[in-house]
Amino acid sequence: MNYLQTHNRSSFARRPRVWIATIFVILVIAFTQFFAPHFLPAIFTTIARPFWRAEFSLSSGSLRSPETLLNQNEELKRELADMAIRLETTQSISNENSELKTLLKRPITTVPPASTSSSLVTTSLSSSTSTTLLPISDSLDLASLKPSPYILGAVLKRPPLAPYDELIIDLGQNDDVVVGDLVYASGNVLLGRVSDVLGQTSKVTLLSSPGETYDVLISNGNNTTSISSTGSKTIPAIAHGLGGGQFSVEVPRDVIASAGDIVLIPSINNKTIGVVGSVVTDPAQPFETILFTSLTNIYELRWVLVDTNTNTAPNPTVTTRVITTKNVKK
Amino acid sequence: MSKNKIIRIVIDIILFVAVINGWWPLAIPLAILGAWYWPHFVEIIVAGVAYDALFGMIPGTGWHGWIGTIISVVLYTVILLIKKTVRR
Repeated sequence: MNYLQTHNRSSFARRPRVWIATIFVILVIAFTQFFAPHFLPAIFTTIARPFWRAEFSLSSGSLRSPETLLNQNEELKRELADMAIRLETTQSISNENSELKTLLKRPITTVPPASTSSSLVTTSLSSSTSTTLLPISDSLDLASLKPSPYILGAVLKRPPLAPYDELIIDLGQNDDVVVGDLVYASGNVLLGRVSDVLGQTSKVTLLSSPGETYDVLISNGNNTTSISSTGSKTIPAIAHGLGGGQFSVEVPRDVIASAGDIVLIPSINNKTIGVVGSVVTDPAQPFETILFTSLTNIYELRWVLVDTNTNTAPNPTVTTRVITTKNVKK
Repeated sequence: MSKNKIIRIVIDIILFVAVINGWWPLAIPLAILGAWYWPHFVEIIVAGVAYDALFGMIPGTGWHGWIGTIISVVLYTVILLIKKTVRR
């Protein structure tokens, strides 16, 4: 019995040229990437960037009415003025404190560093390349304000949809960003490191990216009952990135850590990277697993600070952040 | 323009938007659908390369930055072989 042929069998077997063309294209892509690693990313990023910017602008409220924006502008100006007054008050109290200490012949100490809430000092709204001063630091002396390498960048893409647990920010070579620059969230929370730089965008590999490992210090100084068996309040360990702002650390079971302990990157400045969420202990195992999360919700990140001085000065003593807002395009 | 081509263009546009935004849960089913429906849906490979170019291809990360390309080539090849076998 004969059957009618329902499909044309000539699709692929009779067209080896298609196979050859496909393989050729893949080889061309591989060679291009090998000899010019930024060629393809630059092309596709140039195409995608306007869409990303548009999406960011929409999510930032660019479609609000002019009245709403003007009202918001006025409100922000008022807040700035309040902040400036508050800073002046703080400055006068600081001076008074110093004078009193001098009278009492006590050593003058500076304000503790690493303030987690940066306060806005001043801004110039008239210029498109205005600067915003954010003191974070050990000295509130306005005379000591100096430019710092922190640049404010907008987060164009973030996890979880970006598959490589990375951020894409709108700063690139044009903004003096280089591979290796550290990236922070507000509050001086270390997020990750710039891993690839294109003309106007950069890829930031998060500390929590799978496969990334770091030396960390688990500080249970806030919890006086949690002290390791060695008596130390700071536990050195190696953190493994789990993706999505999650980390794990394996430590001996004798080490006592608890939820709420702060996790730091060991350095002179001891940058905070997370807080312990839970401790998983199995009585049959000699180790326990400490799970901690980033202090910032990376799924809601909209702005980051890039330290462009990372590669030139390993441990800069920053007294004031000067953020150039020339890169903030709405 | 035939209805078939219009559908393909619509699928391509949706695939483009999905890749640009990193919506891989949408891009993969669309790519599979296209590769199954049309004989030579090379857009799947373009989408894979574009995806890696946008979000991966970080120097020093090795093949990890090529997952999109690898998946697209594997999907394209596997679907073609399956089609060839099933439609024989």
